[in-house]
Amino acid sequence: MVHYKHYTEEALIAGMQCRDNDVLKYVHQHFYPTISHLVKSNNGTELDAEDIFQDAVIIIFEQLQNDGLELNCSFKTYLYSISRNLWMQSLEKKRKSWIDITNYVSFFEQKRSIFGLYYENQKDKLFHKHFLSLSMSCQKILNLMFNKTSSEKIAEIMGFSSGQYARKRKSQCRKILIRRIHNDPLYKQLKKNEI
Amino acid sequence: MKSENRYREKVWKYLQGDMSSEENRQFEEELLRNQELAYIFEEEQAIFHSLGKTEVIELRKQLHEIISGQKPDRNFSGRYYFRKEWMIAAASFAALLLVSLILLFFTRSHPSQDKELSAETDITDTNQSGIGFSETSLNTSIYYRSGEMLMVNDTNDGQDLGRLLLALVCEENPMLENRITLTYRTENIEIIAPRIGQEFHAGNKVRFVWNISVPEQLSLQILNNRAVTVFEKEMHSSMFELSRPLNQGIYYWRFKTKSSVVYNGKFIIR
Repeated sequence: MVHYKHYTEEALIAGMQCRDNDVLKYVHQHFYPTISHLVKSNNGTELDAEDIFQDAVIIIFEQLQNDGLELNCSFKTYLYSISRNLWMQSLEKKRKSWIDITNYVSFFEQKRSIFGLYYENQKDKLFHKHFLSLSMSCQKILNLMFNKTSSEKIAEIMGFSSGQYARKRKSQCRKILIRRIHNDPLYKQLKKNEI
Repeated sequence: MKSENRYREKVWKYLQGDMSSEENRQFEEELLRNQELAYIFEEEQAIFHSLGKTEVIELRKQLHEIISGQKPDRNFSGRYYFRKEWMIAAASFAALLLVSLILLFFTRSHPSQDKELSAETDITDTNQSGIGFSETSLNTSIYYRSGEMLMVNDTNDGQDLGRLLLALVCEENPMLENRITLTYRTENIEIIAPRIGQEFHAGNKVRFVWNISVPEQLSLQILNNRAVTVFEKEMHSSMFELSRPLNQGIYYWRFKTKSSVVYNGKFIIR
């Protein structure tokens, strides 16, 4: 059994902000069991719980990156409340019965609606899944492309013979990624929900 | 469709910053008056922005590693350990049961070696798949399938038998099923048809369509649900239509290069 040192609320937030691995491990070790219990006692599986935990941590991370985060409750309560709302949304999507969790939206106040967060997060997850399914070289090329690096610079970094070849590789990788995303049934479903 | 693809190319050129300032201005103007372009732009922009969140992608990877890395720890907690012991016991029992059934199958498949077989029992057919049957009474037959014993009533015009045989060919093969999800598909190959699990009517031709960006010699192999190769051929273009009719059942197929398997798929003949 791994033992972690104790973190204060401020240290947790700071650690989350810079993706400190020890802090993330601590958060998982100490807070995941409650989330797992919540999901599993409401028609979910261990895998669902892991997904919800990941999504909640990512939402907090993005809030920290974008707007900053002022907590009126403990970090654990906040993480739990986000997880609870995400799971509620997920259940609603699956049209499963819901008994124990009520008034989920009013449970905590957020700057952005949990519904919006849920769909945004689902889309991000889908895009990232397909991105991570590409080869390492494609991931690297596309990362450079997303940062608007010129084809000539990409050729230099990747050791390609010319900017033209970099453009060709960039286009190949992008097309594969986009085709995989567009062919994913979940993508079509998410687009439908958006409308 | 053509204009949609053209628009997507344009949008990506814009998003990547590959347009000149004049092209940029023209594109933005067109965006205001062309609804189809505006819709595609919104779609592609969402993907572009999402994939630009490199830190979030990294965080996903970190969390995935943490969650999968800490899983074994749970086995040390009392509850999980208890479950594990029960699982070992259940697995041992299942293994014993399986061995007994296999022994039973072999003794019954060779009547000359087993003099004590009931006079009523007569093994009439066995084949290499391990499927066989014996008649035990006027109405009932026992069918063997890989050591499993199934009782079928023969009085309803062979409907049970038909259902049973169909169930045998439509049974998923767990090992081959796993390969579908586990095989690493390189970015060099994109399968357009058939989709995983696509169904075809018996008699219809199965069409394979794919794109491969790096020219490499591929061979197509089709296996039935017992992992027996029913078809294998080297491919010379990016499309192939199987002219040979296949019987009803689940089929697994793969693309192989000289060195490795690059894709595993599955289709069903109804």
